[in-house]
This record gives sequence, structure tokens and C-alpha cells, in this order.
Amino acid sequence: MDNILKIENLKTHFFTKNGILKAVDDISFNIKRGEIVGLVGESGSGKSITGFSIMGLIDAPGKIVSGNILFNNHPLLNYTPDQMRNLRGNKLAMIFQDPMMTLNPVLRIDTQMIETIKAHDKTISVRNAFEIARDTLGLVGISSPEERMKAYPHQFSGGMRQRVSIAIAMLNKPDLIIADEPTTALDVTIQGQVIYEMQELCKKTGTALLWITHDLAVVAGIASRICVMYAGRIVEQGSVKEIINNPMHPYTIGLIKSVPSQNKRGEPLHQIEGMVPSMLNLPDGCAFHDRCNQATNNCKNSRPLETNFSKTRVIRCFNFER
Amino acid sequence: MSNEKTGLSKFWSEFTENKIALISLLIFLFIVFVAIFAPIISPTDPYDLSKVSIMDSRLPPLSENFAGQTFVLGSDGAGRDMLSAIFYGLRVSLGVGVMSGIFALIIGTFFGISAAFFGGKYETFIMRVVDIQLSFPSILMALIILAAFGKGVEKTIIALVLVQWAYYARTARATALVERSKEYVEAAHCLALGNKKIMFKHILPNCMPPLIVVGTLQTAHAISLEATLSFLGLGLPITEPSLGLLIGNGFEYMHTGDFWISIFPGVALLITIVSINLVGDHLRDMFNPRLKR
Amino acid sequence: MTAFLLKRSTQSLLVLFIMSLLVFSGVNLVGDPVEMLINPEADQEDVERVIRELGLDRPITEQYWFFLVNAFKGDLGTSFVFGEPALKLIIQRMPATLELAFFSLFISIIFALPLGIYAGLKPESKISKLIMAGSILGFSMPTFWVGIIFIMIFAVHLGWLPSTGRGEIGTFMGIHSSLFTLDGLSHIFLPALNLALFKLSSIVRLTRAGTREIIHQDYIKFARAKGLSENRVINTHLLKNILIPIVTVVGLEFGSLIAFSTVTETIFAWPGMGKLIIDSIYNLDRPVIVAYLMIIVFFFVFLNLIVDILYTILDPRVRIQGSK
Repeated sequence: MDNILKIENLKTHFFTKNGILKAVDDISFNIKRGEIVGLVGESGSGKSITGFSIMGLIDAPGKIVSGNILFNNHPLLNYTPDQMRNLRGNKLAMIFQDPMMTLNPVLRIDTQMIETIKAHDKTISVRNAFEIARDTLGLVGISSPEERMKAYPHQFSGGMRQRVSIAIAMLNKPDLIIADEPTTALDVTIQGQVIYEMQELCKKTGTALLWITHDLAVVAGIASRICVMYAGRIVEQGSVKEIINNPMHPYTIGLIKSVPSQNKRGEPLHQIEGMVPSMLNLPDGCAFHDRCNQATNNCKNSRPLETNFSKTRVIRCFNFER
Repeated sequence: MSNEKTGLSKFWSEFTENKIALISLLIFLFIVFVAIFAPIISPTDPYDLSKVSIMDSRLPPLSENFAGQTFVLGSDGAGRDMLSAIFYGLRVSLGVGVMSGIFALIIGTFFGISAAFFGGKYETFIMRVVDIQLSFPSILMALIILAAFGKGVEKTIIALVLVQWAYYARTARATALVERSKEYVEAAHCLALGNKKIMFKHILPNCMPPLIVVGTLQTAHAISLEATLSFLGLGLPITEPSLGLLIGNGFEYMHTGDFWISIFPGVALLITIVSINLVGDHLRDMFNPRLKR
Repeated sequence: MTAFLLKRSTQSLLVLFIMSLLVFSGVNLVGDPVEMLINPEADQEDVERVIRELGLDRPITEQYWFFLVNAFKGDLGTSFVFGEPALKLIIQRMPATLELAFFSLFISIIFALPLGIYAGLKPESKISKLIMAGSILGFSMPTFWVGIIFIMIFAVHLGWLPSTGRGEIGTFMGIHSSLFTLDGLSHIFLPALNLALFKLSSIVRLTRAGTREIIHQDYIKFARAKGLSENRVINTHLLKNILIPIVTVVGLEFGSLIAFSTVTETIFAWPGMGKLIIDSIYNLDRPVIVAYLMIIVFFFVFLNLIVDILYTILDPRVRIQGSK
């Protein structure tokens, strides 16, 4: 199977008054057709910026400094703004975190859906576009879609709004959907539903999905592969089974141990000591070294390169546990 | 890295980042200087009737009068030196504007803070009055008051104060409400400090920044309003010639080409108002949390 | 929606009532009503007759009742200067003022919206800085001063446009207005521009501030993520959101346009209500002043109502709550 997305050595930096913020600092990973990949990291790790970089939605003072993004073998970084616009919402779609803020409050749902279709198909009639939109809404589990479409975003509940966002993403049959924390703002009960539905949807349509989240538990259920991100770099990649059952990078190990359900009753919760370094002031060597219990002098001074541990496993560490 | 500056010097360095605001402040201070020392630095006393002669009237700029003095900006219809008239005019315009501003500030702040503090029917009543008054344009209010009570210096100042107090009240109340819900007020309550003390020592200082912004912008507005009223002949009497009056007097000479009688006081007025507005504008940007990236 | 309208209309009537009370007490309790409403040249016999006619010797509550009744009948007093009903004088001059105000509003919105949006989208560009500098100048310069400058440059110096009076009136679709003749346009242009300048500057600043806020909202980013053209993003997504606060401000400030027309009309000798009220204040023509006040109050209340209605039309969040 070939890759729908191939990212090579991507670097996205923000040039601010206070210094250069290296939000994404040399990451590489691939997504195969129809595959669901999880990009996991805490706040500030650069995972959302990765998503925006792929979409070409990085605003000043940010800039993609170097690297390659190949979508369907097309080099996106060479695309003109018009070409990118053609791609977005079409074969490459994105779902944002907070559905209340992503839908325009003064426009009706049908307006916001139909314009997405018409933006990529100038010849389609409004009626046809309406029908496609309506059917897609039904696909994501919204009942009586024909009436609901005439409503405004604030008349929907949080879970429904997110379903609408998902529907909008699916309107033009994308090859890849980037979902940036799509369930974080939802109630826990709804979360489960939406996760399940998205999984089914992608299976049915063969759409690849990049699920960006800070919640390892969420992505473990849905993804087939996981990339773990820390301070702008990917520290470990592998299949879900491998990462969860046999984490190798000290950070990943710490992450998994921190999940409360891993604890026995009465035991104090596990913490990774220390704090995420400021993105303006990243250390020279490994970004994690000052919190790592495996760290050596080497780690402080030089950045570990990526090691291909196996066909599916990549790890960025000098001292990982085998 | 950089050492922490004290509040005032930090404020000053942030303020001076904007060169335009800095220049405007300097210009405004210069104008204040002129206004205060007008009698001393004026080349002539334009209101000394013994020195003013109708023979000197309507002389263009840079011409000499019979006594050999140069009228740098020309003379008006009665033979008065424009430059001196403008200096005195600045005095009156600025004086009336600033004084009405200060009174309005005091009255408005009092009502605003007390409304926020005591709440209930008192607050509702005051704010209703403020709302209704603010929905009327200032010039209309001023016209109504002057039409009812007549013209004169005190009446004009009263009119200006009545027009402005509502802005101060609304701003003061809004900030006071925010402050009231902050923890330090609760703490002060717990210490059983008297209401008056809480209001003045605690809430008031924190309300100052937005009030200062409103103050500068409102003062500019008051000066503009007074000028308009005097221009229309409805504001200050001719014994207290503000810039507005000078411009009004000069208006009739416009059509015959003696433009300097109207234009120069107009320019002086414009510079005054613009400089205050630029300072106030920058202050507002500085205090606006939403613009901090 | 109808429940909302009803509620707002009743509120408006209440305000109108209170204002009439204020105007009435202002005239009768503050000043000397005899002096206010009776021509100072009248002799003692006439004065007494008029006092009886106007019911000024009756208790104050009865007087107020008469005042209301007369107001309903459309009688708000007779002008000293013109000897005609004050209301009639004002109504005669209203079209000229409304014409000026509407045209000014039109000019300010047409120019201010695009300028403001541009300045908001590209705040660092030279043009934006120029626009902002211009806007500060625009609302700093007192209206009367700008008027004088206009007259000086365009009428006296260049002689391009006339400086006084209203032009010929043309008819279009049953409306009489001087906007429909070339001569009329040449006469209205300077005063309208003069009146519009202040409004234009504040709308530009408002639009710019709104644009800067909205452009960073998530829904704008999402619209771009959908691949919509930049035109669509600005002209639909941005514009509809920005119009809400602007309409509110513009609507309420339309009243100030009417108020400031007093100055513009005086300078350009434009025969509208504004000039009438200024002249009346000079001449102490009190009935006209009272009548003008009542009409202005009525107008303002009405205006507030319209703005509220417009607001609900533009912002669906308010509309749907209001009908519950």
C-alpha cells in the first residue's frame, strides 16, 4: 500500500519578538491510505502546528522552514496558494477542536456546508449540493437532517456540532482527514460515540485519519499506529500494540505509566518529573534529557537521531530500553 | 535579562515606544504652557482697547501696523493681532475644556463607583439615566441646556459637564464592577474596612487607567464642543473669546479672501484636539488587554 | 418575534412618555412659561388672554394633560418669529435635513467599510497606517472647522462647488429630493461630505478593530481549511459578523448625524431643521425649540426601536432567544 501522506524532516518555526519558537523541529512520519494514525503529545508539543503545517494554514510570524510534505506524491510545499486552496476541504480536510468556535455563528448549517461543496465544484447546482450535504449529515448520525440543516450552530449541542464538522470534512470525499483534538471538548459519554463513529466512517470510506490528541487512551482505541511527540520532535513511532505494550522511549514509558488506570489502588499516581522546556529555549541535545532517568552526558550535548528499530518502529533516543 | 522597572518608569517607557504619541504629548504640553503664560508671552494684549485700532484691521500676515509692530499672523476685523488673540483664545478654550472635564470626571466617577458598589435600585436608576443621556448626541444636549438656561461662562461649563459626566460614570461603573468581584475587595470586606475606605483606597486606583483614557478623549471632545457652540454664538460670551469665537468672527471674511482670521485659530484648535486625541488613543491601546499578543 | 416587537414598542412608548414629562416640566417649571410661550412684545391684556387660552392659570397636572392632548392633535405651539405653527415649520424643513443625513450616512458607510476592513486585514501596511492617521484627523476636526475649510478650498479658491443653499429638486419614483438633479448634487456634496467625515472616521476605526478581532477567530481559520476562496471568507464570513456591532453603532449614531446637521446647515445655509433650531435659539423662539425637542425625542426613540429590530435580524443568536 502506498502512502497518502509522507512527511520528511519538517520544521515549522515562529519568528517572534522574543525569539524563534521552534514549534516543529524535524519530524518525519508517513500515513498509508485508509490508515488511522495517532499523533500524541502534551500541550505545546507542536502537534497542532503539525496539522496546520500540512494544511498550509500557518500564519505569520510562523513559517515552514524546511522539509517535505508529500500528499499523494505531490510536494505540498511547492504548491501555490491557489493549489493549496483547491486541496483543502476537498481531498485534504481538517476537523478542529472546539466546534462552537469553528462554525460561524451567524450562518446557517446548510450555508456552511453547501459553500464547501460549491467551492470545489463550481458547476453543481444548489439543490444537488444540498442533497449531498443532507446525506452526509445522515451519515454522521444526525437524525432528520433535512430540517436540522436550516438551523444555526448555537441550536446544536456540542456533540452534534462536532458531527457537523466531521460531516463537512467528509463532504468532498477526502483522502485524508486531520482531526485536531476532535473529542477533547466533548462530554465523556459523547466522546466514545464520536470516536467509534469516526472509526467506522473511515473504514467504510477508506479515508485516512491523523488523530491529534494529548490523550493516549483515546487514540489507543482507534489508531493502528502512534507517533509520540515531545517539544517539537517525534521521539517514538510504532504500531499501537508495540507502543502500549512495549514502550521504549523514556518519555513514552512515563506517559503510559501516568495513565491513572495503570495504577493499582492506593498507589500514588506516577508523574514525569520536571516541566516541558520553553519552545523558545530548547536545549541543544535531547529535549527530554533533564527529565529523563536514563540520561547521560551524551544526551545533554547532542540530539539523538532517529533509529529504525524495526520495520515499524522508529525511536529517537541514545539509551532506550530494549 | 532586563531588570524590573518601577510601575511609573515602565509605563513611561512603554508610552514612549510610540513616537507619535510622544510628540503629541510634547505639543500638548507646549500648548498648555502657552495657555498658562499667554499674558506674558503674547506680543500684544489684544483686548486692551486703548492699543487696538480699527485702522489696523484685516491686515494680512507679516504686515506691519501703524505702530511698527509686525502682525505675524495678520489682524482681525477689529485690528487685533491674531497671534495674541490665538494665545488668549487657547487659554480660554483649554481652560473651559479641562475644567469641565475635571468636574465631569469627579461627578461621573462618584456616581459610577457608588452605583457599582451599592447596586440595587440605586444602581439601576443611575445607569438608566446614564443610558438615556448617552443615547442623545452631545451637541443636542448642550443646545438644549443653553437654550433653556441662556448663555454665559458658567452655563457653558455646566452644559459641558452635564454632557460628559455620563461617559465617566459608565466607565467607572464598568471597571468598578470588575474590581468589586475581585478577591482583594472581599478581603478588604473581611477586614471590616468601611465602605468609603474600600471605594476610595482600593477600587478607585484601579479604575484610574480607563478613566484617564476616557478623560483625555472626552477633554478633546469638550474643547471641540465648546468651540462649536462658541462658533455658533451660543457658548461663551465675547468677553471670554475662545478659539471657537475667533473662528466664528472670522467666518464672514472668508468669502472676501481674508482667510487668516478664521484659519489660524482653526489650526491652533485642530492641533490642540489632535494632539490630545493621539495621546488618548495610544493610552487606550496600551491599556487594552485584548491587543496584547 | 412579535412578542419581542410588542415588548420593545411598549418600552419605547414609556420612554416617550417620560421624555414628554421632562420637556414639559423643563419648559414650565424651570423657566417662566409665560415668557417662554408668549411673544415678549405682547401687551398686558394680550398676555392675560393668552394665559387663559393656554390654560396657564390652571393646576400643573391639567396643563400637562392639555399639553399631551395638543401634542396628539399636532399642535405644539406657534412660532413667535414666523407666526406659524411650530410643528408645520419643522415638518417643512425635515426633508432637507433627512436628505442630508441619509446621503452622509451613505457616503460614510460606502467608504468606511472597505477602508476599515483593509486596515484590519493588513494593519502593518503603509496604506493602513495612512487610513488610521486619516481617521484620527477625521474625528478630531470639529465639524464646523471642516466645513469652513471645504468652503474655503472648494468654493472660494477653486470655485468648483457652490457653498450655500440647496439645489434643484428632482423626482424619482415619487420621491422629491435634490439628489436627483445634477444641480442638487453639486449643492449637497460639500455639506454631506462635511457631515460624513466624523462618522466615516469612527466607522473606519470600528470596522478595523472588529476585523482584527474576527480574523483570528477559529471559524475564519475553519473557513479557510474548507478551501473557500479568500473573497468568500471576507465578504460572507467576516462581513456578516462585523455588521452586527457596526449596524448598532451606526443606527444609534444616525441620531447624532441629525444633531450635527445643525452645525453643517448653519455653515452651508442648508434649509433644514438644524438651521431652524439654531436660528430659533438666537431669536428666543421658544415654541419652536420645544416642538423641535419633542420631535427629536420621538425620532430618537423610534430610531432605537429600529436598531433593535435590525440587530435581531442580523444576529440569529438574539432572534431565537427573543422569541422564547
